[in-house]
Amino acid sequence: MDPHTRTAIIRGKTAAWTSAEAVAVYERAMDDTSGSILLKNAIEPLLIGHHVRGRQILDVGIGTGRASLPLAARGLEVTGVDSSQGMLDATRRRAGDHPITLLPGDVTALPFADASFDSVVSLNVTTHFPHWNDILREWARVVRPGGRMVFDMLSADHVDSVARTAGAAFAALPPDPGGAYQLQVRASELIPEFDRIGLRVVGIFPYGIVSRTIASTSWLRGTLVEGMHWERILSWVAVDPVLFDMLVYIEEALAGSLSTDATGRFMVVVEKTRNVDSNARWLARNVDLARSLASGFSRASIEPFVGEANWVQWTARLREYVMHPPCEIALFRLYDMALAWHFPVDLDDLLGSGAQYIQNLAMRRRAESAVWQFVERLSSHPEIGPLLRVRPDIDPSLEWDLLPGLNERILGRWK
Amino acid sequence: MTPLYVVYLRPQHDEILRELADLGVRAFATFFRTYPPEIMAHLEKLGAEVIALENVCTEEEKRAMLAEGTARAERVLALMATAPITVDDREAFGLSQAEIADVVGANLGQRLYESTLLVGAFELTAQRYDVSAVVVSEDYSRYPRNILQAARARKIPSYHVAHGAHLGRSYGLFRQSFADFMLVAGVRAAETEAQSGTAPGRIVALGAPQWDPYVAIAGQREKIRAEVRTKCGLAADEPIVLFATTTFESSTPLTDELGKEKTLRGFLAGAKAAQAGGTHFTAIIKDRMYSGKAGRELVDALSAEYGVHALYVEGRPEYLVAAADLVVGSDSNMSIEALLCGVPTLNIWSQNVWINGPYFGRHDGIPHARYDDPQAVGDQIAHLLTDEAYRAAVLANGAAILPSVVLGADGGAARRCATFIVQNAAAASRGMGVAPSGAQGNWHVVDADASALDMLVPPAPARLLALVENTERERLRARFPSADLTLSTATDAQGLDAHDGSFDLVFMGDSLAKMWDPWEFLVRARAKLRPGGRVMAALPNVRNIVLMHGIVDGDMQYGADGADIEHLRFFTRADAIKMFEQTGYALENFFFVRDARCADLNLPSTGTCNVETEKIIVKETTPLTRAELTADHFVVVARSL
Repeated sequence: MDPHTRTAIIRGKTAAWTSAEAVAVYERAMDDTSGSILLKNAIEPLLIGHHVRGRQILDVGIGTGRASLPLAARGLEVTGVDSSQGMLDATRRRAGDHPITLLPGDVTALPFADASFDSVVSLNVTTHFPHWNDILREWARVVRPGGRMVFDMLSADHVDSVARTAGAAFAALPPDPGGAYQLQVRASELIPEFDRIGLRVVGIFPYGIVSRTIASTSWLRGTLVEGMHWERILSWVAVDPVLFDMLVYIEEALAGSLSTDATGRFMVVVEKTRNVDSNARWLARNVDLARSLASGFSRASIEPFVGEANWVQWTARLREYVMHPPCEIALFRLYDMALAWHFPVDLDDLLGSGAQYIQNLAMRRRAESAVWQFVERLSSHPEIGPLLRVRPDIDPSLEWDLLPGLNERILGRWK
Repeated sequence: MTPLYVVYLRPQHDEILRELADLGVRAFATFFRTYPPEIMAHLEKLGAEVIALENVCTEEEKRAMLAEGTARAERVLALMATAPITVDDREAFGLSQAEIADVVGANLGQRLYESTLLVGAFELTAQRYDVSAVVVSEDYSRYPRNILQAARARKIPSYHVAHGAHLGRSYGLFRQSFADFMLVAGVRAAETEAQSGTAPGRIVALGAPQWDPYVAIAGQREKIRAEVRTKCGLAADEPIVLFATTTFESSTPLTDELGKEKTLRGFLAGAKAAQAGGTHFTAIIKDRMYSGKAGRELVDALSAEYGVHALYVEGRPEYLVAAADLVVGSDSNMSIEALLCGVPTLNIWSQNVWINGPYFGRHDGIPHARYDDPQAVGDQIAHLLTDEAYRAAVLANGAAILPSVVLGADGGAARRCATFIVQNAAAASRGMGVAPSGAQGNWHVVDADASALDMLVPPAPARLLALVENTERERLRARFPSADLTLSTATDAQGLDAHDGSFDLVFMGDSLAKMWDPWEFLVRARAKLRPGGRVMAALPNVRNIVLMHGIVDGDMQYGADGADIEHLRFFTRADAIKMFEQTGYALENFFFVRDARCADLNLPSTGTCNVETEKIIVKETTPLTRAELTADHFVVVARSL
């Protein structure tokens, strides 16, 4: 990236949050109970809450307080920094009686002495900036030795992985309409930077498998798990606690145990301790795990990395969830997503007999594509196609006539 | 030649035919169906001519076509036998060659004959009449697709009137539409269509003609209820709960074929639970009218199994819905119909609802209960029948969501569709060519003297804010005589002091280019529009070849022949579109208003070519680029998101 573009992005992004409209958008998101935002608002603060350490916490780019108001409510001493006074004002209002210190400041120029905090947390901040290494160095400066930094990033490993498995289909996808700059990084880029700064990886936890609102990157694209229909289904999580719990569990427990290529976003947890060997071991494990997962998601590929106890717990929980029909359909759609990108998931391993209905639906989904392909091949057949055409420029349009008959025969087979 | 409209409508859309005639269309071609006698009598009274395309060719010609179709079908089957057509995923497809041949071969000769007959008759008709439009109720089946393609080859605009609310997944046939314009029920349907890949400029939300009758009879519910009670022998004081069966969907293998029975069982079990809890009502089970029926046998058997007395009926759904105190459905269309009639509704959820849809969101506020939870179904039935406040809340929620599902929800959709079609087809005939269907959206080239106001398609705005010069005001009043007009000078938008949601349309003559910050203005204007309201704006084109030539020649040519000295902002097409998109609008139509000075460039309307002046050459231009290079200004119509 050329220096001019880099500066323009940093300035543009920083300025973008200062408008009243941006503050209103962030505030609305805090109160939004629609499905995917509700899930995002549950998962991210949950991960932050799990991994934060100590009492004195700094939230950089606090926005409207999504990451750290729950920490303040827990009684921790929270300080928030943001370049937007409007955001700070909103957080102040939302904090209510909970004491919280709020200060204007820039992500690379924090108004604090070295080693002032036990933990630095941050949500959806580094993803916007190309100078992420400068940012992390500055955050590390204000963390006490042995303290932690917990923040999310978008995964370039994931984009690489999907491109690798899906090949031409992935390349053929239209560009993401989002358009704005977003930083994506690889684990192999992060580790050397952590080594230079003096940070030890505690863990990097992927999430964002269930909605593009949570991770805008590629995995969900072109599948049943994309778009407003899926979002409309997700809206029911607000009144269906079982569905809500399952989706959060999938994000936190399952996705969070995978390698950095598994989903579009991950939560980074690092400790301010120099330990190059430990980081190298973590990276090697991540590479091994990714390699093992490349063959698909199964007991054989994952259990050696997470242990039997975890695997047993996952299967027990999921087998319980799948008894709930809405969960069954949600799992089908997620499973279909994996299949669409040629990523095998061993449902029998995971769900036992609970897999049957989902596998049957997945087979039907494949049949749907196959039927369509058949009609297309019939119509474009070099010898048959012309015989079916009324005029050379009028296609046979036999879909309406053929699809029900073909479908009924296929369905009959499954009765 | 007499202008003629080709129409192929589902019975629920027949009123569009009447409306088209009322709007002055006097010649129609139909095919393979007859229309109700009262509509035909109305057309006759107006002096309209109706041609049945299937009768255009002579018997001898038909015989020859049938023979040819039969021969071609035999050849197709012979070829398939020697070189079978295969698919990549054989495991999922799993059909034998014999099964495939059975399906493909069924009536193939007859099908090919019908298509040949139809297209042949259409071509003959097009020689004798000025075919101005093709109007079809959904274009997924073979006849309309044949005709639409024949029409497109002649640059005749085509219109697809959607049937449902399109709140579900677009699958199989429904994932691609052929017509130039998709006339859909509401903004929700437009989203579905756009997500299926239809260019937003081809999608127009005008309401649902098939649901006009529900609105029309909403005021007569008591009378209808009495009639239905008498006809069905029901007690006068017992509430009616109407359950509507759903269809088994054979348009895709991805379906739960047990869904129909699951929801029926869910209703009966729920009804039993409600009645056991002391809520008394008459259960009526309305089966589907055309396809996918549950059948009396199944309904009776299950009613007996659950011990619920339920009346099985097949009939006009609007009267049954209007007579009901509660409508229980398993898909959203039934719920929409109930809400249009002012009847509370309950959805019974089964897996199919989330496999293919229709999908309601939680925020839509339509009560729902799962098929496998009879107590919840029963509780909802009891609650909805006995708790007036809850009934009122459900209806209020319904009233709030309906406009996004069915535009207007006022019973006027058939008229809106017909008006749109007539005006749009007239525009096409004036040379405002309909753009080919494609990802670039709907763009048109219009004459230099075309007024921007003529480019606005219905619905006509009721409340309009116009930023225009004095000279345009009278024209504006004449164009929208019944509109509530707020007038403002070109750049001084006092109208933006109005309450949020005040306007249907913000019209800007040559305004945005004269503002320091048109982006900020558009954001403010959006707040003043009702949801889905539109902006219409003229913008100067800086990519005009004459202007560029002047600059290359060293002269900006301020004044009549060049740039407007009052303009502060300049736009290319891409910049203009980006500005609207960035400020929260979806592009509906984009018009290039011809620069008369470019006429002598004599550019072709198709293909790729260079555009040359004495000073500059623009290489390998497409028709779209040439439209831009030769446009004096743009007119953009965009809908607020």
